[in-house]
Amino acid sequence: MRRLTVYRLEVPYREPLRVEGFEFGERQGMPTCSIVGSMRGDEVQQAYACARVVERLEHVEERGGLRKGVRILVIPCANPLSMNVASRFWPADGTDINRRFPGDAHGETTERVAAGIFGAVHGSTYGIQFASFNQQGDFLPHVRVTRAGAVSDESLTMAEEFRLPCVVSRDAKPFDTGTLNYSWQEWGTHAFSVYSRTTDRIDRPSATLVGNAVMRFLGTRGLVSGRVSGGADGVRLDEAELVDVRTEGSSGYLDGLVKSGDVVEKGQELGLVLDAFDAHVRERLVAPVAGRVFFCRVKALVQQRMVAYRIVPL
Amino acid sequence: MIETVFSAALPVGERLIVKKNRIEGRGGRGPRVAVVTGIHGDGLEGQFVAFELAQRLRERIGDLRGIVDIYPALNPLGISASEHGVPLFDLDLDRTFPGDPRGNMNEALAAAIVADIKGANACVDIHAPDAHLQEVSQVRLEEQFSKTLLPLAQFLNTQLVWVHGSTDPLRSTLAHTLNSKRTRTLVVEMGESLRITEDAGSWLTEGILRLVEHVGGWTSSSVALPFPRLVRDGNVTTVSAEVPGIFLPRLELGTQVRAGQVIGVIADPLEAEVKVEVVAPVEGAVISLRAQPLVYPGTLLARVLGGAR
Repeated sequence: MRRLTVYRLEVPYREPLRVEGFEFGERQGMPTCSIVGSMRGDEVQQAYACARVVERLEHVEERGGLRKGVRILVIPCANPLSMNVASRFWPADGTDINRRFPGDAHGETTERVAAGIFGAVHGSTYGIQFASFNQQGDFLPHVRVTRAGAVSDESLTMAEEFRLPCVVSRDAKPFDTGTLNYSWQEWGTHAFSVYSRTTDRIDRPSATLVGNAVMRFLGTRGLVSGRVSGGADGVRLDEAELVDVRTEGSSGYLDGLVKSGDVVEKGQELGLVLDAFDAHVRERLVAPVAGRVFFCRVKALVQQRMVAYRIVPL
Repeated sequence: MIETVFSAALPVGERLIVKKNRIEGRGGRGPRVAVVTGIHGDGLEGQFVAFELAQRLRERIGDLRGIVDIYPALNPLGISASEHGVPLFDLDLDRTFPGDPRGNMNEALAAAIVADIKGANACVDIHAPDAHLQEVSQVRLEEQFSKTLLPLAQFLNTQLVWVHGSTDPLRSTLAHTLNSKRTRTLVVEMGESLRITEDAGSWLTEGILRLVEHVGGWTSSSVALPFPRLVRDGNVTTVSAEVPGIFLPRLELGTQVRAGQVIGVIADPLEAEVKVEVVAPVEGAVISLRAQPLVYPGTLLARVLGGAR
């Protein structure tokens, strides 16, 4: 394992931003696989899960388990500057590095950071990002493929090799064009976004689950040697097939009754919306279909017209 | 008449309500023009225009034919918190269009705004710059809509009309959505975030009246500024910081500069040194100037329009 500075930026009154990478295997050439952890300042779980992958790859390399000719580059935390001040986005201007790819070395600040990161990870055969949603919640661990390039269909089939509970495909939206995942695909990389249960707090079991999934993928792809085991026969579905359960006519406290991964029956209560002043039940949120809980809102307060749960229908 | 465009319950004893001021003329049937602002909570330049325009119309209501709808606060939570985006959702409302009536509150809000404005004869969407800049007043329009929008843009009394290329993120804006639905929508950028530039606002108010007149809704007088300068992406040179520090401008917005003339300096107050003198790369007018002193490498310091190297 070699530790290297992928990108460095001088900033006012603080130590320079250093994006650090961990290189395994070959020293030259495009990475066979690049793995990126957090890109936003609140993606603690993503950085943690990725750091655990660094630890595991270190052991794999020590015991000679890395296949010849393979080069793996891991960037556990692409944005320590934001993480150290607990700001989800770039503190100075509120921009999101993951909307700036492929970046521009002479552009605005976060475009420069994105260009620095992309310069290190572009051209990879496989690209894995530990991602988070803008809406915080409790998510069923899954791998996601955004249809953006010619490689997407093949990537979708490969995504099953993570053997996570769900493989979700989705069509690219306008904002996707600035994401790392999209830029990877434009340059022929098979790109995967891996989601675990949380964002700003560590959930050890799901970090281990997605770490195992990444190692399984690397094993199945022949990048690391050793037996590949475990995982699940995941459900493959399009994001549009998820069934939303919203607060329709009420707002207040959300009293959740289920968690991600729970199997629910049609008509089962998922949560209650309680009045903020007298705690009376204002709305009962029930499952419109039988299925598995994919997303639970975790914020205690809920507005009217908010998706509180998403279900993978059976 | 004050009307509700969208309403939804917030968690604790309050509703999010987006309102508009519908001003109906007494001069007979006529067109409908929409004036919207406050999509970003830190862009307050449109507040003055909303206020001035409603006053002008009320004073001469007999000269108005048809309807002017004024939406001063499309993002009321953002304005109340002086935040660029929607505080609850940590996202930019102007990247959520066309929205979804069945989606989350912010998506339903976006869909309701589009449904309410769609079909207007013209729409003006007033913004302040969002990157800690000062900017001269300008209409910004996408190249793909320029054929239908340029004939209207000339009336708004701005200093520039900037025709720019389309990018994917712009497809999620209110203006792009409305223009795609054949509701001609002009984006005006001017002034500075969290500030009001009354001069530019007064001229824009007159300009909106000229626009209403052009579409057949205003029969009173309004004042015209000289024809705005037409700008395309290739006419503008950007000047960025290459080192971090404190930017001290050495000229004012709108100044005509020579190539090599000092625009400002980047200072290091700790070492008490000027780290860099920032110079104009071309001759021309400074149409954007950094307003916030703290800069990083890559921070936009100025835009210079026109001239030669």
